[in-house]
Amino acid sequence: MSQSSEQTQCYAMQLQIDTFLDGELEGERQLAFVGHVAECGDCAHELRYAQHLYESVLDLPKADFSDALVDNLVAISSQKRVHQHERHERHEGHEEHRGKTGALAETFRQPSRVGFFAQLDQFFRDRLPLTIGFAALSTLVIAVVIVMAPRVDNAPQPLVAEVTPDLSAENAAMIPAAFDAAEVRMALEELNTAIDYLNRVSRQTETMIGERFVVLPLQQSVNSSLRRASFSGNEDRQAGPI
Amino acid sequence: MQIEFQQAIEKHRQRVVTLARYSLRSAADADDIAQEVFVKLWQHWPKIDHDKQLPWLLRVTHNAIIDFVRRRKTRNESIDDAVDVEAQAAEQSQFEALENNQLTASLTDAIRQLDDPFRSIFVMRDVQGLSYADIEESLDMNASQVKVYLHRARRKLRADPQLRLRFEEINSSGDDAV
Repeated sequence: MSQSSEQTQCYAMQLQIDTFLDGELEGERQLAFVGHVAECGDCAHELRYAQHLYESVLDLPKADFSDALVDNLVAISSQKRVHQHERHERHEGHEEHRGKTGALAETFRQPSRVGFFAQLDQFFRDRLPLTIGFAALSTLVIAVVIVMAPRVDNAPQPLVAEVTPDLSAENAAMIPAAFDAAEVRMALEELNTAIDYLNRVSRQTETMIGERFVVLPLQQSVNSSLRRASFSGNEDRQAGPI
Repeated sequence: MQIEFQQAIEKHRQRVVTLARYSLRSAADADDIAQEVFVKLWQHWPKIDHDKQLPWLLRVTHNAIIDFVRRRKTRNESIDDAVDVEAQAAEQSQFEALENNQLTASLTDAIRQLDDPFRSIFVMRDVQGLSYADIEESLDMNASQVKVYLHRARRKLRADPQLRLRFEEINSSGDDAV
């Protein structure tokens, strides 16, 4: 047998060492393996080495951790259990408490509202003089507007005087004979109704024009002044102290 | 539930710690891993299939070891080694006393130097004697994959020069005695 074929056969046998040691090599394969090892010194040496390691591995100590570690684990598990129990109880208690004093508790539990009031308070502290100044100015402007605005509530003077039918004896003599006095009276009443209607339309138009061209521009100017004042204050704050 | 948990610790602690101890150099790290695994067992207790408790524990241990090794690689190795030395010097357990046997020490080192999953499979099967079914379940492999990895792991161990040297020493001293 050539050297290379021997090496190949040894390699193939040595691949079966583990299977042999596991007791899984059977039949002809087992016989071939045992026969080869009996004749081949190198493979016999390799089998002894593998068997020695196999036994050494079986003798390797099995590790274990200390009882203190076990106690620690038990403590962790019991702590978590207690925490869960406490959380459950707290939850139940909280629900009960909410039922009794819900609104009050909710009021005290909302720090965001406290923050809002604090901010509002700070705003008034910072801006009080400015606010008073603008309030006075606004009041003045509104008063001027009211004075200048057309008096809608007061009874206005009719733009066209109503015609009062005066059917005295003199006037009646002036009426041509072709017109009946009763017809003239009816015509005058219709005329008065028309004049009254025209007067009303005129007053409404006057009010609309006043609001459109006097009141609204004044309001807009006041609002824009207030807005400019508030923006200028923020810019100062953002810029910081000089 | 707590009593059952304690029973599970008693039943499986050795297997979990052994797998960790043969995978990591520091006994303290292995104990930390084992503790972490049992804490996870407690946290996941209601969700676990308790008929497959051991495979679950071994899988979690295996993953925890991989995570630990990965984390350690990112840290400064010299600091880690110093911690290992201190931890090992501080601990005079029976485990380490047995490691003082030269062949056992070399064997333990060689096992630790195996890559995963060769190491885990070797420790589970040859060191701990677990069934193939448990190993398959814990590592999510089929039987043939486990056997192939196991045989390769054994061959890798036999190829370890330190181990071979120890064996030759023992062999020659035995021949001398004869």
